[in-house]
Amino acid sequence: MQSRRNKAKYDPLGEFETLVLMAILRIGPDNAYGVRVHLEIEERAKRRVALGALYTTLDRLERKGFVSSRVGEATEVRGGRAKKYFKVEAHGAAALRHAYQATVEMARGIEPLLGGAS
Amino acid sequence: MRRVPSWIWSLVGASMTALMLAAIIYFSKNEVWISVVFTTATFCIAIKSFFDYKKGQTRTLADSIGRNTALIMGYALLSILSGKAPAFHSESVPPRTAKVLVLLIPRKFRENLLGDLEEEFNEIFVPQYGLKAAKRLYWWHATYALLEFVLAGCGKMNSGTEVSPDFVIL
Repeated sequence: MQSRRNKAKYDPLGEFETLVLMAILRIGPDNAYGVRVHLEIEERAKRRVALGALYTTLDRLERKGFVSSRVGEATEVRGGRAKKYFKVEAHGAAALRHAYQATVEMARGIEPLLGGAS
Repeated sequence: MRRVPSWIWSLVGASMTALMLAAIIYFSKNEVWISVVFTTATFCIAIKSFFDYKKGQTRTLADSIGRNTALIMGYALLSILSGKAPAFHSESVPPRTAKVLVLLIPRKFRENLLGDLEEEFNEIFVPQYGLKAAKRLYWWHATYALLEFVLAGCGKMNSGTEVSPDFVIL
């Protein structure tokens, strides 16, 4: 019954949404803007990500209330354009925790079937 | 009027040749087109110098190379200073046509995406992959972003799909 309530409470996160939320949390709200999030995912998750895909995902997370954004400073290397910083909100952190717990629970007991670390 | 001694032209020729070879090697890593220009210029100078020497217009081959190199380099320098030739670094900017593609995406994303793309182009793509591959990567990101926003607007694309732009780095 408890788990059913949890399901209703949190919108399920997609895999990429989970990665984006984790990246923002890792970087911290003072530095989490597009380029940093992009690089964090590419370096840690070892996968190529398109900036366009990242922005549509960030927009979706913002509409769900999982992240909030603020406009930052403009720099010369960006052609004088401002950065947009993202911060994970309490609702987003809870959804991420829920998704993480679900993954851990599902993985429990099947580690031998997954093989060794790659 | 006193003639410039032959050994000075030889020295100028040797120095200029060394400089041009260094430029060819240096620019071949990132800006191949500059390297090609220098290579072509070097061949032209070598051929003209050889025929000048053969015709007996100069005493030594080095003398001939020195005169011709000084002539061509002087002309190139004057062209750049007068603005007739582009400065070498002018090409190290994101492709303009690809930027136009990004201008087609919704306004709320446009500025941030353009800024992020420009920052990645200058700080990551060019230093890591070289100018040519950096421009291809910029094109790829711009095209994919436009496609992403168009299809997301139509509700046909699930954003966040893993994509592989490795082919553009080849």
